[in-house]
Amino acid sequence: MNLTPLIASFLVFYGLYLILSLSLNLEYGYAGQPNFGKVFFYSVGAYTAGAVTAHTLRWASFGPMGEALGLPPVADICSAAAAVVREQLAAAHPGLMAVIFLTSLVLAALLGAAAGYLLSYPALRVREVYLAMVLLIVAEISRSYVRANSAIACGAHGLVGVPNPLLWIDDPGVRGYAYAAAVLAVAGIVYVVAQRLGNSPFGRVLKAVRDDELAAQVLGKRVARIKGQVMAIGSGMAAVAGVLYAFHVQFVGAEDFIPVITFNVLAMVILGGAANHKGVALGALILTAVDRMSRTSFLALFGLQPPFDVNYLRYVIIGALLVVLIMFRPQGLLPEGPVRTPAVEVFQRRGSA
Amino acid sequence: MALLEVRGLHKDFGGAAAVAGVDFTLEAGALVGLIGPNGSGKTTLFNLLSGVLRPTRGEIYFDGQRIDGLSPDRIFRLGLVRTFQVPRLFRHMTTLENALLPPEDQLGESPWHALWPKRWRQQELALAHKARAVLETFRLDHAALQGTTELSGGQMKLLEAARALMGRARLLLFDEPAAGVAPALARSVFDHLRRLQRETGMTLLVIEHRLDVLFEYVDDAIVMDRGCIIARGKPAELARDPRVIAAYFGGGDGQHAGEPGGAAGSGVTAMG
Amino acid sequence: MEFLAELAAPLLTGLLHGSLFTLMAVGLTMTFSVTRMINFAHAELVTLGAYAAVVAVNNYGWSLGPAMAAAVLIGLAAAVLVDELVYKPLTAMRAPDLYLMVASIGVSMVLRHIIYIFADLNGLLNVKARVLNNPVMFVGYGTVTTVHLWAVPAALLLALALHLFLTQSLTGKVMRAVADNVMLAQASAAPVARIRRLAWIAAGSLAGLAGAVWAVYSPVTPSVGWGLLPRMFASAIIGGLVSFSGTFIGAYVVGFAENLGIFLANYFLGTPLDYRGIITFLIVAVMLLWRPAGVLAARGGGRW
Repeated sequence: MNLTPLIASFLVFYGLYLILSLSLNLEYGYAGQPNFGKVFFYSVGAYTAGAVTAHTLRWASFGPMGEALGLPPVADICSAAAAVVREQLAAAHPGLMAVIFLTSLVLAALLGAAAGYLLSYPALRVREVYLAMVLLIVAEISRSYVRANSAIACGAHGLVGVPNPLLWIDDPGVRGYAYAAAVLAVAGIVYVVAQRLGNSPFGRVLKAVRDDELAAQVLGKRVARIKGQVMAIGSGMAAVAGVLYAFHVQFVGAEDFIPVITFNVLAMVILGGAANHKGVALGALILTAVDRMSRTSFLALFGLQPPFDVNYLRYVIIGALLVVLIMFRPQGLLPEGPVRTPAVEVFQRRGSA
Repeated sequence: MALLEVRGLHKDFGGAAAVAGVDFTLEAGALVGLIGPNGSGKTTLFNLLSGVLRPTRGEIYFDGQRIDGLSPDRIFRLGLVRTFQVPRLFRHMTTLENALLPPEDQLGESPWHALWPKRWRQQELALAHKARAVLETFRLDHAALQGTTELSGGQMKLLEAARALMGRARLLLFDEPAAGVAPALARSVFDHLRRLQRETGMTLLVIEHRLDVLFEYVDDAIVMDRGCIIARGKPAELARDPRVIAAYFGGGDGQHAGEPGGAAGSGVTAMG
Repeated sequence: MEFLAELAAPLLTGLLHGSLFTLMAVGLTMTFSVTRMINFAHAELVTLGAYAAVVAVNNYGWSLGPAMAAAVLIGLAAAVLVDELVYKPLTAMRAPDLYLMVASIGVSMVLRHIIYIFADLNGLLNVKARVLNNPVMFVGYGTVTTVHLWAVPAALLLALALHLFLTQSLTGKVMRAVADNVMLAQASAAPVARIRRLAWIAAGSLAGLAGAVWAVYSPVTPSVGWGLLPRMFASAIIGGLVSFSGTFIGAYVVGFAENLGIFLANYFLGTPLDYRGIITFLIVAVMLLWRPAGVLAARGGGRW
């Protein structure tokens, strides 16, 4: 019974969902902007990773690297033959893959942030509920468009063969854990960033916009700019997660980016406790566990073979959880705490100035 | 040159005029009262001055600069600050956090700088000290780390006022700063405001229904009724002015067209 | 001439879709105007109706009439049940609109995937009601079928019935009053609870019926309602979510845009036919951002 792939996969997905839920926590938990288009920004990262990898390796296949391995130059990026070529190049050139990996991360962060900033425009025009719907729709428009248009992710079939940057590691077990470590490292950085942003005057301003936008404006805060900033930051983070996802599943396709992913992340934020990053980390852990355990492969370990597709059960659970939380515990598991800045020290030292 | 100059200000709401032609000036350093029966347009006037509402007609000049039509945050940064009649505190934040929000040019408010706490730590501590001083004046320092939902109604009003004093305001518009506050504390709030005015040269325009308290502190008061200014002068004169008396105690008190939500009760109306 | 012949098919499909979207979207408009909530689970009311009809006809051998009645009843029951269990309590708790919408998303997920499980267990993942949808007439390259003959008159009848109900009947007028201003209506002791119940009954029944007809017209999956939801929203939002005449117009705008519009765009501009889904989403996005009150800019709620 080889548990390694399951454990490594769990760790990777926890890292991804942690990043996604922290980003939504900043946008919605702190700033009150329900970014229900979260999966769109996730997809931006994945498409970026796919494009960078496919085009770079195509270029490599024409040059000395390709020749050295006796590989044919890639004609059509979307073909199965191209996927094979990419895999072989990746296994032989760790350095190149590292460059591709890092470039994807940086480029995705920038593109995601730009998209987030642009899509903060609806946040200035419409109320919460309509903003949520507009962003949800943007994600769906994107999915329809990418599926119909081959240029971005090879249309309906998707881009197969986005080689993991650690493919040069022969042992799949070691490779799995190594990649999980990389993902968790990035997630750790995002966590620190989210905590610092939350426990700062910026975090204070986000909460003010959430609690009473007009009062915040009357007290001198540039609400439009703040909304743009938080959407840019959150979307950049989501895109980074998208890159990590693409290299894990080694595939990029529009059909992966469906609305239930956004709702899953939303459930993590609500479950954990909005505006509490620790809580959200806990919520993400619980729901990643639900996500990973409600799989045929996991249940088979225990000899369980449900007569129906187990994926359906997962969504029943998430949906029910959303309803129950909203009805009985919208504040989540861990309550929202104050923004912890050094200012608090002045009030804790009794008497001294 | 007057600090604030208002000319021909009108605000219509679907046919009803909440503010129907207001002209007045405020000199720098003055402490002026704004009185009038409910529904006379006082809060709407504040909304117009602070940029929350756009005038239907008319102009507002602050320190020579035209401000009608500017966004509220811009007007705040120019030095014009207002409070709300029903406090608009940030519910999910503590007293201290509320007080720390208004100061301008906080380095930590930029997301990039926020990532490096050392850069804004000094400024934050300095602001915290200022907040402590202000909160002490309003007897709120012990509640600094409590959530605003735990404050009493009077304390919320005081925090609303304290918060307004955390910026670099040159003109402060106070909407009933002492309503619902115990009389002794109300007096001390006014004492503090007057002291501030004398020390810093701040200008204050205060809406207040308790005329006895107000008249002790202001040299000059503007009286509004039905969206217009009907009188202005020293408290003693106004108390004898028949138009003022008629507006307050004459027929039909409280039934005035125009001011949204301003119709009933004494100042504890739901503000939009 | 050739062009006109080709035009007939998308035109007829647009007409059919528009009629069915009317049945589906009126429910959304009705519940929104009375409760002010956006109900994602409305999609599943259509799915339930479709599956009720399929199971009744295919598995139990019922004829179409009773099967449709079953669909209506099931849609109705589900709508009222969900309102009683989830939406009403949340409204009583003064939950913000966003919470109600999120709850409806949760309900939708739960219902849809329970139907998936049921369908998976019974081999009904992709089915059509075994009722013949016969061609009645050929127009150019298009076909008028029996479903056309039910759907289009049904939509028109519905429009007429709604108009009469809202303008002539007392209950209808009270419903309009409630839709205009819920708080005011409550203060004047209008039977708000009864109106609310009525709105859900109507929404569930119409959605169930529409689902049943759809199952005769086309194969259905447990996601059929969810896939049609953007069309329902687009139709309703053209009426600002509160105007029935706007919804009626909207349903046909959406039906024709998706069929006729894409055909024309493809014919004259070479737009790929795959983009048809995007049209609906664009309609919703554009309306939400720039004309949330609808194209008729309805002055009140629940009005004809």
